[in-house]
Amino acid sequence: MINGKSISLRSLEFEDLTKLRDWRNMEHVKKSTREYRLLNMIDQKNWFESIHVSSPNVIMFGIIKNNKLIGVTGLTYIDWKNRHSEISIYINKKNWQKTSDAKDTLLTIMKYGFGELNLHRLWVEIFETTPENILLFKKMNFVYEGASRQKLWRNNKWWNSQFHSILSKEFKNK
Amino acid sequence: MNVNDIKLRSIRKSDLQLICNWRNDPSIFQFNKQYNLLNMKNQQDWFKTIKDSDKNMLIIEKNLIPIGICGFVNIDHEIHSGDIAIIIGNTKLHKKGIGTIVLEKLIQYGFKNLKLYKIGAEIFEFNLISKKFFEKFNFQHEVTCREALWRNNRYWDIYNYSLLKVE
Repeated sequence: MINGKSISLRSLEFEDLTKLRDWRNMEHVKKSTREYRLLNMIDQKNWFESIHVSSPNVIMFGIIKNNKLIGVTGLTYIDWKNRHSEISIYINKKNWQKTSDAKDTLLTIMKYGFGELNLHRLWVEIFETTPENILLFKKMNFVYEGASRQKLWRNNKWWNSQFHSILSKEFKNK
Repeated sequence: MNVNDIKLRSIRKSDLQLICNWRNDPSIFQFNKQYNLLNMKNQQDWFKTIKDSDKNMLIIEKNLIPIGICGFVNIDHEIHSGDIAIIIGNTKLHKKGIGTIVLEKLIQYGFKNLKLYKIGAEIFEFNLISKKFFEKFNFQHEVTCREALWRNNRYWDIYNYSLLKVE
């Protein structure tokens, strides 16, 4: 267990995969991800295998509150040489971006990335389909780095994605 | 430099040793993310992965002599995008306008043959020549990934540039 203030993180188990599939296929989660298909259990099993290779570039956790799994967070695209990684998070709740649990989860995973893995830079790519995610990371003091044009085709039009990042020297809650 | 002297053709197995030598030249690999030296096993494994693909990488020839390699990496078929890569392996031929001819041909090739909608370029902070080069071709600076590269004992920014087909 890695403990935050209101939540804690635990490793994911094979038995969690069904739940994760259902969450990721929900409209309010799906619209923030790169995935354009609906996920099935074959996808889930392959993904689970892929994060258990030696020196993985993905480290995932389940978010636990009152002994219940409420969401998933982790570090993806970890670049061990250049010391950076993307943060991934979703919580099974509408408007989860506005909850204190979301902020506590991000603080906990940032502490882990900087404090334990000695990463230098944590970044996120957010599609402009989900302004609520942009707001959340702004609140966590992430700095806007720019927008990549035509990064997603959805609902019959092109969307940009925004890049935001925080450097270890900018992170205050060590 | 005459445009017709420069031709792009597909890669053959017999090019691999030459490509390997180019990529191990420090004046070349300092401008890409590579941090280890490559051997012929790396090259042969890589050749297997590109052999059946749709000709994303091409050899640059000047008067029928191979002088470099170019093409598209990180191709995303969903959004029809790819990043440009150009290596003029024969460093004596740098600053002679070959890059300009190659980039012109590649942009054509990317939008027409590979049917891309967006061509990207990743440029390191210290690579001022490439920065100017792509800006000359109207590539737009989209993102500055702050301190995303560790090289020579310090962090450097990485700039993402792009050109859209509609432009």
